[in-house]
Amino acid sequence: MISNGLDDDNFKKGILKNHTFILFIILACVMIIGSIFVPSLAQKGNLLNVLRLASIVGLAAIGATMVLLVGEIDLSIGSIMSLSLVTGGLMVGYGSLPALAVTCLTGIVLGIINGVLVTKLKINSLMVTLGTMSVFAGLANVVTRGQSIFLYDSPLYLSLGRGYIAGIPVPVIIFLFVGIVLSIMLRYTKTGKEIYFTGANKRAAWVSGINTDKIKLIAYSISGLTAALAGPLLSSQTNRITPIQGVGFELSAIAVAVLGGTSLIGGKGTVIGTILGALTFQLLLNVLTLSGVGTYMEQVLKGFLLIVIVVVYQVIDKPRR
Amino acid sequence: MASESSSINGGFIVPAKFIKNNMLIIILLLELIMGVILSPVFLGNTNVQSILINTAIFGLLAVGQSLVMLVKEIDLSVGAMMAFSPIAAIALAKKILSASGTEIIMGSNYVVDGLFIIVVLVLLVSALIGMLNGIIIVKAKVPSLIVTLGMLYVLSGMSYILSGGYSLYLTNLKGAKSLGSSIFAGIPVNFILFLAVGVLVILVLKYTKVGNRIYSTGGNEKAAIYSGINTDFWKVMAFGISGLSAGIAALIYSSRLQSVETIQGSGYELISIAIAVIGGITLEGGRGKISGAIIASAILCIMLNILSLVGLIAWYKTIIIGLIIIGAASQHAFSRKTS
Repeated sequence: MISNGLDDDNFKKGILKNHTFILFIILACVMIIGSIFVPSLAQKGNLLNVLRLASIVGLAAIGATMVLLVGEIDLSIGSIMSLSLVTGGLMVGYGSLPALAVTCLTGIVLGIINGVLVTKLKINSLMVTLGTMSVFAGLANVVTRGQSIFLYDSPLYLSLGRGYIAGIPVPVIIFLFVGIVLSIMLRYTKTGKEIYFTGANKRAAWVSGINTDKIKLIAYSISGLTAALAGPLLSSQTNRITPIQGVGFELSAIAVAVLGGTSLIGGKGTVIGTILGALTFQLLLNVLTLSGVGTYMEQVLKGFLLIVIVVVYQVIDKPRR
Repeated sequence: MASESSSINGGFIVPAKFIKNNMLIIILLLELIMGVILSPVFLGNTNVQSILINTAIFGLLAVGQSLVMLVKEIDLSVGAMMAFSPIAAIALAKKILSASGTEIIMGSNYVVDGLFIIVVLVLLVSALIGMLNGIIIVKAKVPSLIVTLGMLYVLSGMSYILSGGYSLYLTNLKGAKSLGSSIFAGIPVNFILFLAVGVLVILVLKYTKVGNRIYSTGGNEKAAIYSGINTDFWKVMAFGISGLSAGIAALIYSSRLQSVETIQGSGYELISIAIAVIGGITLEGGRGKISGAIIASAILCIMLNILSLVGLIAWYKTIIIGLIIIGAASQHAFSRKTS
């Protein structure tokens, strides 16, 4: 948003270069073409399912977006999800609320650990989070000794992933709430502007008095929190918490963020883009599932589309560089 | 040089500098001593063999990854390549040879014929897909992280589709065993192959203009372009070699196990990055030596071996690998700051 629609004269040109707009078109096309070929796509139950799954991956992707916006990367999202889930899972005996609170708290703490390592030790964030990804994944297994924690006695915990409020799945409400809050923060608060400046030009941001370390720390803790939030939504679908719940989730989250138009270099991207990205991602997967191409073909197409869309964005952006 | 600085700065500088310059070898020696102390079977024949073979596999991946990191890119597809290249090669060989009437797959999934053509196809497929990565990255100017991540999805999905999720067994394929288990002068042939590849890369980087091109491409791309270097070409080459070395690693792995699994190599991309970083190669490009990565692959494999011998569960291993990555990366960050 910050880089688009600045001048009204070029509005028409601008809108063609707006990632959010393009994504919206893609989403609409997938929806229309999909429902022509696969009639069951447009059924209410199926769409709600798509929304629910999109919310889970989207939540983690919003965190990935925040970190990408400040010009860093977080590969530990999946492991944060696993570790915070199992530490929260240890508290399940005391009730759902303590379990959820511990889950979220663990997520924030793990995010802060990432942030401190990146900002204080000044190590490349790809390396730091590659390392913490391994550490957190190992710890998650150590905590539960590789066992699963079952959730049959925790109705509140389970309702997070399965419940409805006014006909809308709970994950969707949580997702939209987090998305709107962070969207407003990015757009209208000082911290939001500082996040964009830090990612766009770190040195300039630092010179103009922005505490870039603090901003990065905030981004990483948000990423930790959203990863931890996505965890219970996912594990309540399957009734249990496993220490390998989040394996590979970081890649989906980053893929969704990039799909939503977030730049890997920093300073460019929006939460709304990421929300649309999550919807597109999940809808595509759903179309593929329903049309019966098989799980493996889905994976191939997922990878292929990721490359194609990044290339398309790059072509659109070229004149501006 | 060392004696000069010692005469100026006093004797203390020499050991400090010596330690800093030979850090990796010192760590390797310390590890060997620790292994001998901690486990009686550490120097046993089978254990040494298994360390050497693991070092060959991970080392090959790390050499390729190091080249890619030297040109300031990253390759996440090497692990998936290790499964895809043999599976695709066998599928292709089956098509080609069945045209001439030879059936190379007997039973449901026993490969029985066509070793030579399969090996050639593995090398060809892996090198070409590596180069394809590079071409997409330089032509479309998109981040290598995303392109190779996409490629990871594509390759691992394709391996499942081509193999149907079943293993292909090489037990009835004459000669398939030799790379994985034959021994020359007490050293596994595959380890000699790995050293040969490593030495070749080191020599080429050191004594031909290729080294200069690669290091300048990663060090300062703009300056390299202005001085007439075709940086795109060298990036594509680096990815090609990375793919090729993953192909060779796949040959060793499959030959050792006598089978081709759909999940083989999954997660190895991260280990290869870890080894490169331990070896002193940075993500900022243009710095570090391949020899460092070769020693680092031995360091990591010996450490994992010692941890297994003392009976540590795999979970603790992942934790320790993670800590090592962070430690190695921060050490380089510090040395960069002081120098």
